[in-house]
Amino acid sequence: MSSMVNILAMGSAQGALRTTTSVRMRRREQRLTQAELAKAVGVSRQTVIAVEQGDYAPSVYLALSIAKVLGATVEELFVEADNDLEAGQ
Amino acid sequence: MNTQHGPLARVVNRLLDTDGAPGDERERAVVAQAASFGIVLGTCASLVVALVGALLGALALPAAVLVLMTVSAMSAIWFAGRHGVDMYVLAAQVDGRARTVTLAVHTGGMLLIVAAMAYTVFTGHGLLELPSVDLTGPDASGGAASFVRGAVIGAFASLVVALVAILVQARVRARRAGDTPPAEYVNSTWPPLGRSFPARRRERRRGAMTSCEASGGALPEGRPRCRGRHEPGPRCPHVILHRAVVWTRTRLSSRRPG
Repeated sequence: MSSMVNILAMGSAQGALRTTTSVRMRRREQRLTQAELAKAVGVSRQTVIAVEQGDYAPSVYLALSIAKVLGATVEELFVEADNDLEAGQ
Repeated sequence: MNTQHGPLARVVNRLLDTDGAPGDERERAVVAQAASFGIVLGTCASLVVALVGALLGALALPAAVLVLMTVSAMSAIWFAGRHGVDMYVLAAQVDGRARTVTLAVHTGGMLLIVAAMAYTVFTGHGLLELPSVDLTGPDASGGAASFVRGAVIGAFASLVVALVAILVQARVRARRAGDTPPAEYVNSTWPPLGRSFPARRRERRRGAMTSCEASGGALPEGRPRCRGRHEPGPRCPHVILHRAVVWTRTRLSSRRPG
């Protein structure tokens, strides 16, 4: 029983959705700092950094909130890595 | 499915404090992953401890560890089930090799523990025998007894030092978290990593001085550079303090006769 929990616990630490984002570009266009954006959407600055670098895929609520602050749509800001590659080819 | 209501759900929510959890969603996700990591590591360590205890002839220790592991796993399965996640089904979907290895380690470890306990029950002694040395009590003497006493005192001192270090570290981190990053760090990591502590302190001071100088003429005479770490503007505590001192001096000098 504990082995089953361990199997799932180990698996849950993997497999976050990788996204390439244009959040940083859009934020710079809006002349916002990371701290200001973080404060506006109610998260830490490290989370904004992680979102900008594509290390963290935000929830729908956070993505909508970021899009609202940056004056863009979620589709413009967040593109799946596969779609991005296809678009580049 | 009723997962949020009822006395049991309230107890669970109270225990987990889900409503008052600090941090944003990424931080909470990282905390959840860290807890998973701790569970995996704790389970493996528990298996080792139970196995060593069983080999040495202890019965209560391995039994207690096995019960705790079972309770922990059952509670996790129950919690997931209440939220509509069947962990048995998910475990069946995990990659075959990883599942086989984990199952082999856990099942093999438990079988060894139970076998060692059975050996102790039927023979009256454990598979491994520790030399019986009297290490406790006022009459204990010798190198081993001194070693045990030193270890106990050392463990106590280490605990005290660790507690103080944790408190100091928490205070420093809370202070650093409240720092406003200087302009040059806006698009990078703050606080700056890879620098020595004095360098980081200089960086913070430089940022604070720049901010305070930006308050524009708010700095009083006699204080050409404010070295405080605070928000910029006329609410600078050093400026306020200096103004209070100047005001008091003025009042006192005006009351002097002549």
